[in-house]
Amino acid sequence: MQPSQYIRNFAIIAHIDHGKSTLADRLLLQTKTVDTRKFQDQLLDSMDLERERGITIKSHPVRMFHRDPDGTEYQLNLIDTPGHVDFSYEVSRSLAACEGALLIIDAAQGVQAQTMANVNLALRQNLAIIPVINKIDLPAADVGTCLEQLEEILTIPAEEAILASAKEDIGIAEILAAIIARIPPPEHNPQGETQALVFDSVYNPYRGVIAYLRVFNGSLQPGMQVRLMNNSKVSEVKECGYFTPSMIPGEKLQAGEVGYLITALKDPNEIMIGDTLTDNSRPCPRPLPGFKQIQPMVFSGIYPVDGRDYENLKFSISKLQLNDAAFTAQAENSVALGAGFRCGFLGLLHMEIIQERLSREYDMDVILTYPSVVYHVYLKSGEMLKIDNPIHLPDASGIDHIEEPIIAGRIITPTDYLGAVMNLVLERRGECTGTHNVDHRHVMIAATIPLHEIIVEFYDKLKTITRGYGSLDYEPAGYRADDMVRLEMLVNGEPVDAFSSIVHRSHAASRGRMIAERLKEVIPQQMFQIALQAAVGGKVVARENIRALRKNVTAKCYGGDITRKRKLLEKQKEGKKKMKNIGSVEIPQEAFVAVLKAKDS
Amino acid sequence: MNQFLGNPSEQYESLYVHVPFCAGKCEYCAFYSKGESTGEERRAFRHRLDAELREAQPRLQNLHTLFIGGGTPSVLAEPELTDLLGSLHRHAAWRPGAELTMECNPESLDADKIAAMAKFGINRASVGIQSFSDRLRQVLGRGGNLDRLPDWLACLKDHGIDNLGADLIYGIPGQTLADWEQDLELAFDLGIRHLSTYELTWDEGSKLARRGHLEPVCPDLAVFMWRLTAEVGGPRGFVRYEVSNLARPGFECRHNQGVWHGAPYLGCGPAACSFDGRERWSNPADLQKWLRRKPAEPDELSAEARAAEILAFGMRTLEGWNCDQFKQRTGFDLWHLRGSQLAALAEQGLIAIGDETVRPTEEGFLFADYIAEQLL
Ligand SMILES: Nc1nc2c(ncn2[C@@H]2O[C@H](COP(=O)(O)OP(=O)(O)OP(=O)(O)O)[C@@H](O)[C@H]2O)c(=O)[nH]1
Ligand code: SF4
Repeated sequence: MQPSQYIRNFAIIAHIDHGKSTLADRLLLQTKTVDTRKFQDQLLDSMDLERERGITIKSHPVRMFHRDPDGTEYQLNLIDTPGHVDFSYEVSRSLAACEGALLIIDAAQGVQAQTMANVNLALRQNLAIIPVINKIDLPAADVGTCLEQLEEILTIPAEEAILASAKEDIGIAEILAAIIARIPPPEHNPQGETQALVFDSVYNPYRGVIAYLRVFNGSLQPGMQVRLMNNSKVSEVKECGYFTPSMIPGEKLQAGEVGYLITALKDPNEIMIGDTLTDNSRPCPRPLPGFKQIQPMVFSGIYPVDGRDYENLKFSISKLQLNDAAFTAQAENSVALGAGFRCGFLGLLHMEIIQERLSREYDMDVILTYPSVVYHVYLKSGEMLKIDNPIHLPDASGIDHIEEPIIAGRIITPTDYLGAVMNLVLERRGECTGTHNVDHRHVMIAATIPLHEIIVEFYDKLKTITRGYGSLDYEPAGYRADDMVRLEMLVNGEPVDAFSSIVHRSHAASRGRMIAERLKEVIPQQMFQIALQAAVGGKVVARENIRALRKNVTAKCYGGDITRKRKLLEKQKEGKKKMKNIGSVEIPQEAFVAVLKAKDS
Repeated sequence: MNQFLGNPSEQYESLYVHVPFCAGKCEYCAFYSKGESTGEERRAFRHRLDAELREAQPRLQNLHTLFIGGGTPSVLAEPELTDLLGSLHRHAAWRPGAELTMECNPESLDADKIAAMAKFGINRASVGIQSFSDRLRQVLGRGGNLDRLPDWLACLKDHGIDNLGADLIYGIPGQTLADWEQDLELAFDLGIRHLSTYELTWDEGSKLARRGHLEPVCPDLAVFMWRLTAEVGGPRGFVRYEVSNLARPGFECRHNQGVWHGAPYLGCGPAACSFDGRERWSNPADLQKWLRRKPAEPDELSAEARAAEILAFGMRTLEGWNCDQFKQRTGFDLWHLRGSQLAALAEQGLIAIGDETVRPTEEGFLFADYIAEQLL
């Protein structure tokens, strides 16, 4: 058993692709936690998707043992965290479980927006930060600029930086030494009431919920009755232990340590990220700070492309939810798309990940409707409604005003594109609140922008106008009133629910026109003219017509053709039965799907 | 309820013979025919055809019509044609005044063949022209030329085959409305009594569809061409009596009128289809398989569905249906069977409902497939 002065708990924070996973792998190798022979790239990213896209979605704790040059053995607990803004709550909980963090900066890329955001999170947790300039082996490495950025924008003294190459195995020993020297050991009271922070959890079909935690005070051991402070659930500890990265059961988890714990609880929703676990027989007086119920920020309808897949989709979604408490889903029905789910996500990346996992892991072919954020709708009656679905937006006459969520964003870009980025922000109804130099070539723009604008293509646009160099990070910054309206798409006067959206009035006409044009391409001609209209509050803002069919006849029909022709007509008739009838127009579901699949609708 | 549907001892009203040979294959063609054939193949064809006719002989004794089609029956050499007609003569018999049609291509006709036709009793010839324009014929991949056409028409008339019809195609890529008007006028000027006009289709299996290098004309132009057909034909005494067919009154193709109105007919030869009043079946669309007596493909349907089918296809014709006639044909009452659908179609202006009749309107002709779909 190690006294806690020989324990170091740390996280690695970095912008995407700056080398977090590669460095983690290096540390595992150097400390002989994993064997060179069993080595598999990116050991900690266990999901296929994580490995392939190179993004970390879940936290991955691992315990290493490291002997310093004096021969003293240390227990190093590394928590690999998702770096993306969508998961900032999870990141903040992982960081809360640590005393220090390695801050990785790609020597060729420099500080990016996400780096800033993560550093701010770490500083808020009072973590000791060890800056690591990685990839110094690259010909394009510009260490000087990185050091300048450290001082300029992160106010971290340049001398503290360690120059490394995770790939070439340069600087790893120095990093290990710095972890021991610069990160304080955990402070705690082993005799105090048990207090442990749940910073993540996974669901295992055989073992139930596996909670990842950091013990702050006291200890945990099998047989103990533990209580979750948030919901007062009590359960017996079945097993506890640590990761290497595989799970190693142990006798005890001590104050200061990071590990896992399995109880009899089977419902992932009962063990929430950020909750505090304590000894039921001797509970701690208050929970650890920082617990929040995670709220989805972005909503969208998920529908099976083929209606027959509904049950499968339902099953797949429930499976995904077991490991993703932030992903919510409620059954809903659409006239155009049939049965599906209204789903909530932490953000755009989270939404993309869910969509991708549904297709990859469950082979589901799904479409998503236009995303919405959560609007605060103030009624004339004084009541406030939270609306995340355009369908539920009350009639305009009863609405006093609508507030939409705003984010405070940081955009880092090469100075050359400053003007273009500021234009983009304005175009997206944002406001630039300040600029700071990052170094002699880069600038950081602080801006407030409606969240809704961020989730529809902002990121792609930013990448395009900055030739890939711009980066964005943000955090929620409250609500602001604006002129939001429901845009409806009407087919012969009847709304198509799947295309309703809440948009800013100034964007309604252009968006309406775009969808009308796309619908025009896919809705088959009928015997009569079809009006496709985009309307706001009953006022038409865009219109397209589909001309009536001029004819529906095959010229030739003789004795030999009758059977074939009848069968063909029967098939068409069968197909029409499956069509959706909107405004007495027969529309195949595929038409809606095609329009939704095109970006932006 | 229906006594008629399904009475296999009934005499066939019509006989169709499919001659699966052509001189080369047209671009647009999806009929079953061989662009090249050997004398041996043609001999085997006649042999097997003779057997097929012989087997059906008892039910071929009071025929109203004969239609020899294909393919191109006129590509058969005169002795071959005479031989084929001989088989027909041996096994089948027509009532007086029957309509006996043979399809001919001006490129492959000659005086001897015409004499053989006349001798057998052919009294109607349907001549494949498709277009008078060399440019458009080229697009169609239609070999040969029309140089001898006037000679053969004169020759047919000399032999008493004066009920002449022509086939034209419209909607050919590159064809203008003026081109079409010219084709129509030239055709009517031939002194024909019947005109079939087909819109060019990209039928699956045709070279046109396989190559995919040409696009159909726009539907608006096709509709203009369709209307122009009746506009040019009307003053010359032609009436559109089916979606694609016009005739001088009294010279409608009786064979096809029967097919559209559910008359029982036997089809002989590869790819030929038959209807015995109850079931339909199709011979294999492959000369070798047919020679080896591969069984026909049945098309089974409930009595009600069959009656609906007969109703639907009759609505392609100007005549449409008379209630008594329909009852006689199928045993079903028209209104009982599809009353609500007929009413809805009338509401849409696609059919006109009289005291005893239902028939398509002019607009209805253009939506014949839609009408059929509703009635099936
Ligand atoms: N040349 C060079 N390449 C490196 C170095 N470290 C990492 N890389 C490469 O950089 C890319 C990204 O590395 P990762 O370790 O996957 O980055 P990451 O930060 O874990 O990415 P996320 O999980 O998305 O945050 C990979 O192609 C690595 O091989 C380095 O020191 N030198
Ligand atoms: S269109 Fe007529 S002539 Fe041309 S290949 Fe087809 S069957 Fe033969």
